[in-house]
Amino acid sequence: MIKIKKFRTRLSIPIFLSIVFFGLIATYIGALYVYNNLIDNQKKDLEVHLKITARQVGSTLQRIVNINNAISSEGDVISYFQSSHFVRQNINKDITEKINNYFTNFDIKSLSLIDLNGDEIFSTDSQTSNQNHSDKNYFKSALADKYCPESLIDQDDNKLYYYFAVPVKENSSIIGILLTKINPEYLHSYLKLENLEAGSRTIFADKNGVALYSSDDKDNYSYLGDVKLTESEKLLVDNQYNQQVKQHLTYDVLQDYIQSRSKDVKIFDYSSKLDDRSSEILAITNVGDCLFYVIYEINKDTFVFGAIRVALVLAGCIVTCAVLALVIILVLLDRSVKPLKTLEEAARKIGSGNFNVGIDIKTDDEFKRLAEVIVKMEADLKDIYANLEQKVKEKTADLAKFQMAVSSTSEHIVITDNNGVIIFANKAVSKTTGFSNKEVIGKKAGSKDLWGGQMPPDFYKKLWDTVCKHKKPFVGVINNKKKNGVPYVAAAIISPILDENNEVIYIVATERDITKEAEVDKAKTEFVSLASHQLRTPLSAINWYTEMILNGDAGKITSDQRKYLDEIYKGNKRMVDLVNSLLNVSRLDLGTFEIDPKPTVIHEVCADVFEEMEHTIEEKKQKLIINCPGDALKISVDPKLMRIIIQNLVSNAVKYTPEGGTITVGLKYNKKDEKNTYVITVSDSGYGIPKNQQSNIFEKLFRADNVRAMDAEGTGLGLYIIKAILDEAGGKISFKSTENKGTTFTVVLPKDGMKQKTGTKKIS
Amino acid sequence: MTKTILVVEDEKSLSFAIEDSLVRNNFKVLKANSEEGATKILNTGQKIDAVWLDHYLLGKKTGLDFMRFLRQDEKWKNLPVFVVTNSVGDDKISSYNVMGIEKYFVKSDSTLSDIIDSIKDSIS
Repeated sequence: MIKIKKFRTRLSIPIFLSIVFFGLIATYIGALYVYNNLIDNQKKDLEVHLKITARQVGSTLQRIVNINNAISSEGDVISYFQSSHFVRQNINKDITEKINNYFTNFDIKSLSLIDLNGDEIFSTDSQTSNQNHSDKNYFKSALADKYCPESLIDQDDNKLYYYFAVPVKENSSIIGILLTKINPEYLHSYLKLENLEAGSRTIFADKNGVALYSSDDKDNYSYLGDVKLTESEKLLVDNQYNQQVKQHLTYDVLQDYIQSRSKDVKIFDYSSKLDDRSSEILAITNVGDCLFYVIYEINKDTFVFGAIRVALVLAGCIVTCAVLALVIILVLLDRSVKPLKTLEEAARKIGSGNFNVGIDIKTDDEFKRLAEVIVKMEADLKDIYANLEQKVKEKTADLAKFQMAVSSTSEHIVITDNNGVIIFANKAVSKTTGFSNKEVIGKKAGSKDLWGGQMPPDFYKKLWDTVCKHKKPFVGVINNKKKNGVPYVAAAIISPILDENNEVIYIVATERDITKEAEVDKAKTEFVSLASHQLRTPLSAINWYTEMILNGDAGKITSDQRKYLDEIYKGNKRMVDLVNSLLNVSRLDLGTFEIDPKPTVIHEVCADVFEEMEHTIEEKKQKLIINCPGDALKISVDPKLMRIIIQNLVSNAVKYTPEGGTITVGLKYNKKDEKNTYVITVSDSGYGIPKNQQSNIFEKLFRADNVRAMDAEGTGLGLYIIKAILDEAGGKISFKSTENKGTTFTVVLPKDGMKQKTGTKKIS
Repeated sequence: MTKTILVVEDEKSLSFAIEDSLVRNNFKVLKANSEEGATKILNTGQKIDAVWLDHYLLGKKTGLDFMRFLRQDEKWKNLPVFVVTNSVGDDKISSYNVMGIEKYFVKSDSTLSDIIDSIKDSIS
């Protein structure tokens, strides 16, 4: 349930937020678009309005000029100029009437007639008469037959008037000037636009950029922007407006426009550098051929507020839509998630091992298909589980058997990881060592903390190298110490367990407590040693006394006596040999003799034997031939056992070969034959072994009939000893023999020489 | 000049044979049948030229114990010793060799004349 809630939140919140986010971006773009559109439209509107206003003002100016021209061509006016002062007095009243007729629609301040000297000869305004106009621009322009209305502040009433001066002509020659002073209100009434937004205004400026009219009055008689007139021009302007011209405003763009005498309608985006007034639109155009300029100034804030209003409405709509969408999504999700809940519940039940869950989904969509898949999976799982359980049971039973076997065997078994840290120890471990399973697990095998560490460090290094480096089992006898401090002797086999990459993963150590056996062995060895000593003592007595008698120490002996004493001496010698051999046989029979191979030069062993036999060989006048390779052969053998083998074979050959015979010893090295790498042969030209007795030749105490009949010395134990040694050491012995021709014995050893064998006894 | 041999041998019959043979070969013989007896003779201060030593002796101590006694005393340190015994263990032979003996004889494999010849060669 919690997960489904999360899923709903996970889906609905992002959708809601995205709608709001993208909606707000759209709102911003929309508002910007509306704002720009409003401004554009306003600019277009302004342009139209400006053109209309300029036309209206322009045509009004033209109308005034036209009226002026009409009056100037009136006969009364012309004749007024031509009349004498006296006549003029009479016609003043008539002219005034006529003029008033012309100006019924205009708010005229005054009309004056000015002679060519600039003197006013007539005026409707009695207060202004007798004024001289000769220095005025409008007078000069009119005298030059130019139309040039001018704005001026009257010095009398300090008010602004528009001056319209036209020439009065008689037969195309100028005889005087007609001047009308127009009240500004009449002209300015065209400039008052209705529905102007707050902060917006209309300005009417002259050709020098001086504002004559502003809808908020405060900027009247100010230059619009930074003015670029000369000082004298500025002075003229000051005079024109009766010294009322103020500092300039900040509308440099407008001033530049006026200065450039451009006639187009121009619209500027303006933002003031001096004050905080927000940005504005400025629109400007000229009136009456660049005599005056109409300016609209519109504050952009209005449009910003308009855009914000639009944005707010849009944003409101979007948020409402988003909320509605969220509600719809939640409702839809709730409906869609229902089958998901059913599936979840089913999956959970299947997960907990219930394989009889039905899924009831009626919608014909992906959920139904998912449900079908889950039902199929459920069935498959049921099968797999059934099989698996059976298999696990079987394997567990198998494992249990092995575990039981390993646990309860009387052999002490320890398994370690590849660092020698114990991970398993069977019951026998605590029985033999006294350490509990708990004390053993996790500790290093062979350490002093446990039963190990009693051997020299070299021993453990050799052990470790054999198992981990050479990956071979180590076999040996180890002195250990029980938990209670009692030492014991163990016969150990330590083998590496290798993985498929031939890397050591575990090490299995099997140990057997052989303390008792070792003690028994020791006792036996002691017994044998003592027995051999005791047996030899009387034999030595016989030996030495016989020797002394034979030496004549007890007086002279007869030849018969010598002959008999010789027999006693030989018999005694055989007895000694027999005792020596029997002692070796007793060790061999116990099977616990030691084989300790080390690299041995075979030549040296042979030479030692020959030296010992030299005397006998010489006595029998036999010939000894030695066939050896030039290189000294170094073989891994137990030198003592090797000596026994060669010594027995050579002494047999000497014994069983008549005087003058030949004995040949050969050594061969077959590099390619791993099993029969070293071959040692001892041949003689002696009595041979009778065919029917050849099969018994290696039996204990067996002696062939032909040599027994000859009464040659021998114990019948030599070949038995050789065979027993070679059987244990991994070598072989065979022979070929023909009676009265000779015998060849062949000993073969494998490439690795003799196999190592631990034991408590040595053979001498 | 007559050389004196100290014979340490517990077996009476063998001891006789040894003595007879040595005397016949012009040696003076002093006899002991145990380690204690042998040290006693040494301590009398008589001049001794060589020792004929058996391994097993009467009493608990062996020929090896006697060797140890000899080798730790400055006076007897270089006294030639001939071990003549029927004990043939490798361990024993090497133990004697380590302590510096003239020769090791196995009684049953050696004749008296061989041994006496060897002694003569050594100390003459």
